[in-house]
Amino acid sequence: MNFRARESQAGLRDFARLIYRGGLFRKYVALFVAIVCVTLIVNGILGILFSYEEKKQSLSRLQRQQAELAAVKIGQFIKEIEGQLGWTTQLPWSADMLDVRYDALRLFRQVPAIRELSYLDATGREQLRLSRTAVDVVHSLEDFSEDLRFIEAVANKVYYGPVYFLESEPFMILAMASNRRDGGVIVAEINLKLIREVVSHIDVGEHGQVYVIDERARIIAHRDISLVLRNTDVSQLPQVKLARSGSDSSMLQATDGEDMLGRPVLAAYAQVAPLGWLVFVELPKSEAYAPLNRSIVLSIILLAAGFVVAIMSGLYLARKMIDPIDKLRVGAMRIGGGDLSHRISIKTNDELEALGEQFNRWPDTSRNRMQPLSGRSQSVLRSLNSPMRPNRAFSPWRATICASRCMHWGCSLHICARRSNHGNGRRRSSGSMQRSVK
Amino acid sequence: MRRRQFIAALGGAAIAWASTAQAQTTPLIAWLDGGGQPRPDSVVEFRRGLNELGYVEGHDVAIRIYGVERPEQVSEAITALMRDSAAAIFVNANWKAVKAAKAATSTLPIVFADGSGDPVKLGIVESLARPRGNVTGVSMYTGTLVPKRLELLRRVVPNVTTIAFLTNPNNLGSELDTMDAEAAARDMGQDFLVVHASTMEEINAAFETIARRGAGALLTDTDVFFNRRRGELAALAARYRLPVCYSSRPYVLAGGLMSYSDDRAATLRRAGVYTGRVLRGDKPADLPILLPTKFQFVINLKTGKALGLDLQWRSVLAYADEVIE
Repeated sequence: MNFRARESQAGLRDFARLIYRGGLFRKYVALFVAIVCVTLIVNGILGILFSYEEKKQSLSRLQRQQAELAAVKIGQFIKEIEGQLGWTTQLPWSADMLDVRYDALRLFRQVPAIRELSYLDATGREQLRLSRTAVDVVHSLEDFSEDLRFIEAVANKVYYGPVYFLESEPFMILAMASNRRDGGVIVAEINLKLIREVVSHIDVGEHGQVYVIDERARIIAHRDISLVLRNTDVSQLPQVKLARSGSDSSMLQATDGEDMLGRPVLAAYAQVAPLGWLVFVELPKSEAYAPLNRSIVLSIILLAAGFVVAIMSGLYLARKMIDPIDKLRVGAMRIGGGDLSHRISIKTNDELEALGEQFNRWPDTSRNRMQPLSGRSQSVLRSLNSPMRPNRAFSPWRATICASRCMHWGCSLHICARRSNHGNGRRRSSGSMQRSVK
Repeated sequence: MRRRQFIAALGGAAIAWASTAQAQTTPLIAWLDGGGQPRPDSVVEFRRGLNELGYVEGHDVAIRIYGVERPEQVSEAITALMRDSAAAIFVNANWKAVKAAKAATSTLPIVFADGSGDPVKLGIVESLARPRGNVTGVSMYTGTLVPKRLELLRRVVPNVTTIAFLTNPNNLGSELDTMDAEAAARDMGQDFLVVHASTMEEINAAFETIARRGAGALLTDTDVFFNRRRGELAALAARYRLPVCYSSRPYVLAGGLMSYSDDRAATLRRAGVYTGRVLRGDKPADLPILLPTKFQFVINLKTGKALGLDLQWRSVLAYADEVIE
């Protein structure tokens, strides 16, 4: 064992002695640490709890707003097509086919999502069908009078058909009644694959996703188009089940769910107004709660640091208090033991220092008072009180020393100080002597 | 003897391990091209698609071209690309090449971006939504566009009695396209003449047949071999004064009259994206066949004038997405 190790061990021993020896020291440290730490812990835990709940709520609200925004955008996609289709309902469809085709062409240009456009006359028979991929058909006279696209459009001006898949791609029918007196219905077949453009421009975190499902819980829009083209059915996902069950509370907040790979996500949804579709916005839980967890870890680290600081400063302050008291105790013991030359040195600039000074002054004053008792008086004194030893004259000191061991420092010190000031004790014991000498 | 075998096996394993390790560092895309060499702009679009997934050619991915002009070259190319331990095959050729590649490997992912006709009917994939197996890709769907092209051609030359259809019998889609075209012609009450060609000599012979039979216009099928001969086809059409509707825009740029097709640049870009996804580890079986959404009608006004055609605004030019003058 080298010197430094020995020294540090000795230091440790001192420290241990300090802790075990002085009850007062331990009490001071414990009190200080307890006060600081209880405050810290209570404050920290409350802070964590409140901020966790609050952040969780705001996260949930944010996601919900994102879902609503996405729903609005997708609603707009359909509304825009509806608006474009609107002006074609003003056209004289039954007139010269070449003119009508020319106008319909503009619609194809403006709305890439429209794959086919047809005109049903007032009796529900198809007069014209224009297509991007198939040959245009004139006067097929196919009967749609019993079809919902005709009935609903005539009754409600506009009809949104259900989503259907042709092979892999999702389509829907949008039909609008003609504004002209001759009646008729304009029917557009819309390729919903193009909603991807809308969805892929909505960013949700780093690994979040946005998707739209139709009434039958099939994905009709997703950034990854292959999920749409595979006609992915997500009706079994918990958040989809909850949303489709239509409970109102689920509309207000994000809920726990799973993504298509079974990983936990925070999911919020909103309805696309006229269509009965649902937009889901999902964020992996690990990502969603990462900032929350970070703040908790930070709080715990701060709490631990607070503990350490509280203990260190508790130790330091207690030591500062105990040291002068200990010096007083030792000094008092030595003076009481007869070492009148001993001086107590306390430089704390407070009551303890003053007390130390008082102790120091005492042996001088007592020695001065003892001076007149010389010569014959001494012998008288001896004869009167023969078993008396010089130290017996300080018996009040002993009491003081004993008192110094107890906790009530102030009180006992006060007593002994008074005695030393006025020399009461001595006077009482030696007063009679003096009187008798006179 | 046994020890020697063991050492040989060990060496072989080490070589195999080294080559896979190399393949992992920079995966190789084997590009089978039906025209021998791809057009530079095709490669540019394909690269752009790869870039969308973060792949940069020469940096973390390599592309090597294998020419498969004739069907018998396909098996050679497959052997060669297996030797080069390619990570994925991109087939920019007709269905025969796709089928041959599929027959040669059931593990290497294959992405296609060409061919007329329906890949389901041709037995390439099980369904468009769920291809199954190791093949996926971008279908140009141009097979179903043949009737649409016929319609547009008839609008340009309304008074022609017979329209000819030129198709390459080496192309698996040829038969289906021909059936589609014939059915559409029947519906329109249009006389129709089918001519076949798979070499330049046969193309010359086909044009003679067309002239002899008095067909007034020509429709060409989607075919990579034709694509490569678009300059010659345009020259022949000019010589025989024949209005021709082609299968893609480059023909019109090369002096052809008109074309109606998907956006070929977008098709190749999407093929690049799909190849990137396959390299990233997505299974082709999970990647549905992509179909085009955008179609272009391109017309060359200069060629039209040279042929003495009256291209009316209301019936023809208004429909064109692009007019080349």
